[in-house]
Amino acid sequence: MNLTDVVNALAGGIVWIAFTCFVIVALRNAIALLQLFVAAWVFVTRVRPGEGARDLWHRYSDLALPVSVIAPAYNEELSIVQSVKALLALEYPQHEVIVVNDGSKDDTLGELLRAFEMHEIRRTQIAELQQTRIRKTYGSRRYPNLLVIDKENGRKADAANAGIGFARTPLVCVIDADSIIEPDGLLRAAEPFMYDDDRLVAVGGAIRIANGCTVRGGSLQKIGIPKGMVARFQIVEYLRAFLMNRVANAHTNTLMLISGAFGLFRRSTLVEMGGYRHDTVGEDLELIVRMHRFMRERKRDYRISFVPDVVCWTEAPVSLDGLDNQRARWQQGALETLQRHRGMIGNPRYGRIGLLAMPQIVLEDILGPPAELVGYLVLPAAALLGLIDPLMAIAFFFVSVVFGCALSVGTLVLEEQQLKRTPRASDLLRIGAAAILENFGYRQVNLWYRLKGIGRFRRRDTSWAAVPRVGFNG
Amino acid sequence: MADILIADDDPILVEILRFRLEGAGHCVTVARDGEEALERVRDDQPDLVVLDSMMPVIAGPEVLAELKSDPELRHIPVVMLTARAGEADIIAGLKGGAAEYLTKPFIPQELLVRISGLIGAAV
Amino acid sequence: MNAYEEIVLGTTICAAGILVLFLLLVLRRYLEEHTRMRRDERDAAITRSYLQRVAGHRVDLADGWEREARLSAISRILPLLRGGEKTRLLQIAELDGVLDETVRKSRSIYRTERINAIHFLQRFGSEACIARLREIMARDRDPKVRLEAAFALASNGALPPPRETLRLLKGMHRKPTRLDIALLRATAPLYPEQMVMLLEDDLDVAWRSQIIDALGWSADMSIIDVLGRSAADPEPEIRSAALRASARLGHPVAARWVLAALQDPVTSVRLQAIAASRQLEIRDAVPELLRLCGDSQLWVRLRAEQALEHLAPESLEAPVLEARA
Repeated sequence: MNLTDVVNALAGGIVWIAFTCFVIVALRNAIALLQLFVAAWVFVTRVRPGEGARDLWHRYSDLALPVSVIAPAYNEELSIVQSVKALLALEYPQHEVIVVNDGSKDDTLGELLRAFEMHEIRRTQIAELQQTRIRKTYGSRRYPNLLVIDKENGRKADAANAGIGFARTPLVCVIDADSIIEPDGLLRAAEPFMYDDDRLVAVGGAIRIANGCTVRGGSLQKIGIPKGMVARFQIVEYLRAFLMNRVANAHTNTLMLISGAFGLFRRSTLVEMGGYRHDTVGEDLELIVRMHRFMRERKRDYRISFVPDVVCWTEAPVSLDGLDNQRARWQQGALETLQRHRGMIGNPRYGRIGLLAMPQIVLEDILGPPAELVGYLVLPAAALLGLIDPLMAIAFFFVSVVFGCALSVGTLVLEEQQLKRTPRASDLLRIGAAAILENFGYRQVNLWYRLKGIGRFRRRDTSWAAVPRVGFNG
Repeated sequence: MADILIADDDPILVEILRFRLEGAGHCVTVARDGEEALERVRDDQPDLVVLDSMMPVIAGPEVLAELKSDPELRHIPVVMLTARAGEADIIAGLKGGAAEYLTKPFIPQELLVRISGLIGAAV
Repeated sequence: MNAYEEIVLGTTICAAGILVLFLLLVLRRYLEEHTRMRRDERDAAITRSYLQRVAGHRVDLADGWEREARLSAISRILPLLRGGEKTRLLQIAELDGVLDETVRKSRSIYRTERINAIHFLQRFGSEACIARLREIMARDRDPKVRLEAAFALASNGALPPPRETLRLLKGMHRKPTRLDIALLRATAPLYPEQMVMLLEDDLDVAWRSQIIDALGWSADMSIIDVLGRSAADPEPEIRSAALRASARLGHPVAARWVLAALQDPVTSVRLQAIAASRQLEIRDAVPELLRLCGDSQLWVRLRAEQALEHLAPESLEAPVLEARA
């Protein structure tokens, strides 16, 4: 083999890589565009529950399935009392709040016991799903619908499982202790259960970023726009995820993720499945994937639904420092889930989940990020070397970046047309600017963080770096 | 008769109240947000305040708290007229010192009777 | 032109189109913000003129606002008022023909537009609106729209006789949902006898039990015998429904079959009986409830315990704890 052969082989390799990257990125965006159309269709034809139906629901409030809100808390002594007050005040005919103190090192438990006049009670745990020991359970005469569980430290999954095990209601709503739930969020999320003929097992809802909003006493007072660009970029990302992705997936019955910040589930299904898994950093994704698997393997008719109304607000990391950990963790979680359930990928036994939804996650999480990053390097290089048509490199730029802008702005169109939760025209324009700028730099940095996540997954990194959060000053 | 301040950001509601209250011979001033409401109360010292809860700048319950913590203004009766009909809201409003708590949709005649009762008691 | 050029061109056109759409929406929002003041003034003026007419003043109608403006003002007044003044105001507005536009929209070819019109008719709630809603419920081609009309009628307390509602619901070919149950319950106080007559029809267990459940909301004590008979039905679902309805109706004679049902072999019926004992405050049930604290089923034990906490907290101390240990 002489030099020419080597050069030719190398050139062939580069061209092959360039083409592969191009196809993957184009495919990924084509799917996203399709989702945008599906979401737009859903919104245009959506019948919002009218006052008539709501009126009936209020009149016969015993028909609304009682809900237990499960709030795992770890080192939240500063905010826990306010958060729990907000949870107790949620608008819902019958709901109970179960706070699980996950072995906090600060005085979270003490704050709760003092503020709500709690005393130790006996309460039977219906299903033991946690792996750590329950220390004590507390109740309060003044707040009969509040239960506090004190347990040894585990992870969020373990704390949520402990709470699910104590719930006596047909529905459970698992949240993060620092999620700010909309006053009628529970009501909105439970609405699909009113129209349900016993097939529905889980409902997710749209989550927004609370940065820039005024928060007082654990509830949202006024919607605002954060000053920092990193937070604004995330607003666009969240809109894209919740308004486009989830809405479209739920419509085709392939919703694969209900965020850990807010999810409403049928208790019996969760208990039957054994609750969350403890050994993954992406327990919320894993739960829904496993739920599909569980129901399909038992040949049950089931549905997982999504309400596009905003149910909950959550703080996002304000700087790239916190973001890198969060994104790497999400990536790592996705890979762990795919590995555990790899048997479902492309498997016709799992119907559209196996044939469509799982391959889509593979494309999105395994192939997509490296392909796009590599493409940014290889395509211009190949064009300079004269190996490919220079137009192809330009087309790659258009398919990834310009198309990305179009998708982000497209989601904003949906938001403004349907939900209108941006305070003013000027704020809308600012978010619009962020939607475009996001594609120049932020998007690429994010891909890099995801590669870091892939690295962590390969090293089997189990350390669970906490994301620094901004505090709200009340 | 009496000076009444309406603090509400909905012009339609203001119009309805103004029509009925002026018809009953009262003198009506209007504040469109919580901050303006506080200013007006301090400047004009009205005989009664009709207060909405969801208002721009400063929300109703905080305006109420502010008024009730001021010894100069504490005696002015406040009628909360709000869309917040939750049990917790009503209790919080009455505990916070509201003389009456009415929820929207409301019966104009009822509001009028309650207001004249309060003014009779205050004057 | 090669494929890449096409991709570049296509992406550009797509992106530009979406961007223009977005900018249009921003512009719309901007204009909304800037014309709000004028719109508010207009709506306030319309409101004032209506209030004056309600109060019996003669108002010069020469400055006649467009129907659309009147509709906009009325839809802002509706959620604020209730009582006689509202009714009179709506009557006057109806004479102005404010509703014509809405009635026209309730015949639109677009489902969402029809449903929006239904929501408005419901809030307006005048006689003409009810008549139109009944027409929609009986005749619209889309069952979802008909169902929405049914909800609207229910919230105005104007549902048609139950046979019509049931036909609509059964026509949807699914198991009864919670809102279906609510509709039946809303019908019960209006037509209790006709509800009872429905039970003679050939119905499957799911619907039959929902009708029995709904009877509990009829506030008509004369149907108590029907509940008593149903409490002895061979179908557990019907027995449960009869217990639920008895608890709701609150007739003391129901204690007889509630006590018997505490020994029912089917778990769900026992649970329902426990709930009924609690709601009807049947103190005679205490010994039986104490026995159920040792039931083989976890949920029965839990609910019995909860009912005892409510009915006889003093009885709970010793035996329950022993039974648990």
